Amino acid sequence: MKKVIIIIILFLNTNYLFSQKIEAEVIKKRNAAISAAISSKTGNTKDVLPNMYQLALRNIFNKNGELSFSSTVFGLLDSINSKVEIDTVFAKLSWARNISFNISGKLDSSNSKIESYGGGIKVSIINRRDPTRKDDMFNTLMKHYLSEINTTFSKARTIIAERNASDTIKQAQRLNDIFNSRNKFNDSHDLNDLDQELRSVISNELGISDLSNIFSKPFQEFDDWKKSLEKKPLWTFNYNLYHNTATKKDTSAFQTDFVVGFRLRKDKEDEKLWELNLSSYLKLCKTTDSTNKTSSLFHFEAGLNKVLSTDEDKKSQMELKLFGSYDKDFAVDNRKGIFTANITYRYRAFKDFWIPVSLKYDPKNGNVFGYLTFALNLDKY
Amino acid sequence: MAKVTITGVFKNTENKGVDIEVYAPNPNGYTFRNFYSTSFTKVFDDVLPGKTYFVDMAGHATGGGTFEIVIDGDVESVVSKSYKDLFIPGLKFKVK
Repeated sequence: MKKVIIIIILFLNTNYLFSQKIEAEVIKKRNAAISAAISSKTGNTKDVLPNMYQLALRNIFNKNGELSFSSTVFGLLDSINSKVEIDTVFAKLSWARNISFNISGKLDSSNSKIESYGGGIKVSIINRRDPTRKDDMFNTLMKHYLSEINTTFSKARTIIAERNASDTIKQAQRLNDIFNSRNKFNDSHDLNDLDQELRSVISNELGISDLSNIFSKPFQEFDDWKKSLEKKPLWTFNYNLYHNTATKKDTSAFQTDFVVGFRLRKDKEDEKLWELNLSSYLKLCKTTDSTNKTSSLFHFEAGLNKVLSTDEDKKSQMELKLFGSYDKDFAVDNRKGIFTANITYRYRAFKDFWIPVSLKYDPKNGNVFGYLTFALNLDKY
Repeated sequence: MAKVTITGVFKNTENKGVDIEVYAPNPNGYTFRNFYSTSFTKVFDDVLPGKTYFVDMAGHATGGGTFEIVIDGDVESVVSKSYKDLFIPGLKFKVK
């Protein structure tokens, strides 16, 4: 298990450094910042459905460590041909972003050899959280705002250019000043960064007393739209098949997950997101004893995930999830189900590398179990 | 007359659009304006050598998607930029 951890850490570090080098080269070549994947998804949600790829190492330092890799179909297509990112093709691949497959290997209780391996497929039944998913009403609204910005700018700029028409040098200078102020405002969103004469012309000669309606409101509407996505539902269903190398028996697992976000106070704009998370699975496997019964392991959990902090891009950095779970093995006669209380703390160490730490408390027996996982999400969008 | 090409490519989003205005002040004023809701290539074959042109853009690309613009052709230096979310920047190019 230690060797596996070392290999994974080296892989993650190499991948991180390699991706940093490539990113620096592209930035240098294109002379532009490459956009970071600004996602409205929490770490909790990315465990349900990754954007593109997820590599996870579960139950580190415990028995039965597990390594898994998940990829959406879109992620696989993109790795073969990045032209799928271009809008005309991207639009046709919505289905590919809502289907993912996974492969995994689990170690035995001594973490010395692979006990089972398997794979599966996951499908989104409902995915309203995808910020790349087409929203015609939003696009129409943005088109209106964008056209209004350019029309206002153009009219005001033309008035100033005509004022200086007799002095072409001064005219060129003023246009440069206005050009620079536009870029400054684009970065800061501060109306005071717009050229003063431009602001005066817009107010006094174009009759627009409140410049924020033209220049600030679109940014607010855009942020509001992004925030609204965080609360929308995500519902998935997946099927996995595992093979146990020791018992030679197969396990079929049927699972469904549901996530929906909410905020308690609508008047508090900076309130961090809450998520209601429901999950359930049924695992079917022939028992290893002489009865040859089918073991039916049922699991259900319900809980709340809370974003505790965000970074400067308002991307989730730290999360805490409290949930209760119920487990029952229907193959064992008269055995009651087990209720446990659980807590998962998630920390995003860098970019999309999450470290969830989980504790499970069995109140009936007074046992506490801890689990540590490394989860790296490799996204381009 | 010289020839300049502006190429705009949207990537990784279905929520996108950009309003572009290309202009130059008088004398010999120039103006072009269009709204694009998808990737495009626009050739300007009526630009004047030695003249500087401004490009005002107001656009959006959601969810980590990008809008990548390249201005090349008979220009003193190729312009290449990438934008995300809501953006209203300006660019300029000088014709050779």
